[in-house]
Amino acid sequence: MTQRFEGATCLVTGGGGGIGAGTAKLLAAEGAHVIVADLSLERAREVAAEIKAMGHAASAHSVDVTSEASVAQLVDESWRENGPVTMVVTCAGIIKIQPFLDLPEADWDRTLDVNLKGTFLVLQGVARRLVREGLQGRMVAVSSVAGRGPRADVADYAASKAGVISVVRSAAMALAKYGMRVNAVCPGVVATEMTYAIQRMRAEDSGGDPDEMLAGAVAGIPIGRIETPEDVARAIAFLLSEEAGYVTGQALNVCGGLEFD
Amino acid sequence: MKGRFDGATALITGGAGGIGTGVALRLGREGAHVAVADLTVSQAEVVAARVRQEGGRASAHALDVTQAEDVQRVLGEVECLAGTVTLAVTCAGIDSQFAFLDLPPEEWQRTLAVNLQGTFLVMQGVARRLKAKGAPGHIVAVASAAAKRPNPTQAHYGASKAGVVNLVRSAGVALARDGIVVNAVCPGVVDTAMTQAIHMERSLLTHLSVEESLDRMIQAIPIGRIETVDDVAHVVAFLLSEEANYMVGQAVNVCGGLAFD
Ligand SMILES: NC(=O)c1ccc[n+]([C@@H]2O[C@H](COP(=O)([O-])OP(=O)(O)OC[C@H]3O[C@@H](n4cnc5c(N)ncnc54)[C@H](O)[C@@H]3O)[C@@H](O)[C@H]2O)c1
Ligand SMILES: NC(=O)c1ccc[n+]([C@@H]2O[C@H](COP(=O)([O-])OP(=O)(O)OC[C@H]3O[C@@H](n4cnc5c(N)ncnc54)[C@H](O)[C@@H]3O)[C@@H](O)[C@H]2O)c1
Repeated sequence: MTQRFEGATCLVTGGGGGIGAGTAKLLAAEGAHVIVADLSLERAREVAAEIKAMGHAASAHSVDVTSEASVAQLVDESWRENGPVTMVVTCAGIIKIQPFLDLPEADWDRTLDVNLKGTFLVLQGVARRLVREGLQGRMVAVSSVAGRGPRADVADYAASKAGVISVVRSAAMALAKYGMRVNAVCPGVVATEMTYAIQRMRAEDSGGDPDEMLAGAVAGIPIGRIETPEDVARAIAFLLSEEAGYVTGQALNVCGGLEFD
Repeated sequence: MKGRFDGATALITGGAGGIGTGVALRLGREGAHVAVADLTVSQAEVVAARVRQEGGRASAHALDVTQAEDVQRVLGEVECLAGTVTLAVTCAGIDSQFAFLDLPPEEWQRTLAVNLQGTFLVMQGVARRLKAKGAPGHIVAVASAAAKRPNPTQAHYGASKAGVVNLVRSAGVALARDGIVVNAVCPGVVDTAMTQAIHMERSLLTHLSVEESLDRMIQAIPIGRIETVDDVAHVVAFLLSEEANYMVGQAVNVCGGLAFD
């Protein structure tokens, strides 16, 4: 199982974050050259440096996924430096806890821009180039269990993640004839900075203790433990691999039993 | 990939059928002892012999999954021969085509007995033995994309497979904390005897030729080709592996984009 991605170049957006970094490391360990792209070039560099220190191949780039021009530039640079990008994982995402009645329009727009439009722009940007060159690719978008169910205090985030599932289905249908597969994963409660920030925000609103709140959330996961970035990364790697050759347009719940449909 | 299942004991019900054979060969190559169980032991033995021919370990067992005592007996046999079953794949299944208004209650009952009750009996039997030993394990049920779509000429089949999807959720959550990982796959149109038979029967209902009936179905598959048993076996093997340990009670569509939820 070690060299499934030998010779392939994989773009990971949000690669400086928890899930992105875990995914980038796993793919690099299995032979891919990983382009770690993030709004924070500093974090992208840290992750790329860690990968290189492990003896694998990576480079760091800055990108703002909400900007078509920024994505186009990332795609161009990636191609120039490492050849065709035949695998993509979109992990860039943001979240902010706010009661539904107080959710400001500007925050709604921002969340949808990063999580949904950003995913679309990256999938479309890479797919365009692949189709133009007659190449095939495999893409995985990181959605969330929040895209499957109601979320009273993150209505914008939940809508954006439901949108990601939808755009993945549409892209899969549109790109099937070019031999491209597009899928999503829906993680649950992952041990990353995003989750810790959520607990801090929720604790602030309710006057509770963030650690206790996280422990409560974890106790509600049927499998009984928090999800690791590697749990997500393994499912992403599977979807990128040849083994998933007949799987397209799907959103895999990798969540310890939190969500089903 | 060789050796992923070294030392494991796998039970495959319906193991003499198309998908069962593909899964048996795959698990045999990856190191498992494969217990091939089907209605007719001589047919199961043909598959077991193929596994051995490839250098794997296999045994053949007569099993009617609708009979609880039969299931117990086979689990006992396999345990004596090769150790506790730690991997189980339930492929036993039947299908038939009837216009909804003509569907006889006996056919409904027979189909539910094999596809749904049979899956339950095997799943519960395997899990009980694992639990008694305190051992982890992986179970994959073969449901169908039909579980998620309307089935005007096979309402009984669709209902049985939708039942399997829900059973897998219940079992998945019930067993998650015991380290018993339960998931399902939902194949689409697989190149097996069952699919040939379906289109033979449908041609009688629709007055299309068998070839036309199957061709129309294949044309509707976004990925543009019929599914192979290996397409299914790859995903089954993933769900049986440690890689899928954070997936609980999921039904993964492996159908080239025919179904989504
Ligand atoms: N943590 C969880 O429990 C969880 C659960 C389900 C889904 N997710 C999703 O997984 C993905 C990764 O989340 P994480 O937990 O690793 O969070 P994280 O905050 O650690 O990482 C997110 C990364 O995205 C980057 N980013 C934000 N805006 C960007 C932009 N405009 N352009 C480029 N990069 C940008 C951030 O700089 C950060 O590095 C997100 O889409 C998140 O919604 C997370
Ligand atoms: N072929 C497809 O397109 C397709 C699509 C989706 C799902 N499936 C499912 O995949 C599974 C395998 O199907 P296949 O295509 O390999 O069909 P198949 O007919 O080749 O195999 C089914 C096997 O189940 C066995 N079986 C039937 N009743 C049994 C019983 N009571 N006890 C034990 N064994 C019994 C049969 O003898 C046969 O060997 C079935 O559950 C089927 O519903 C098939």
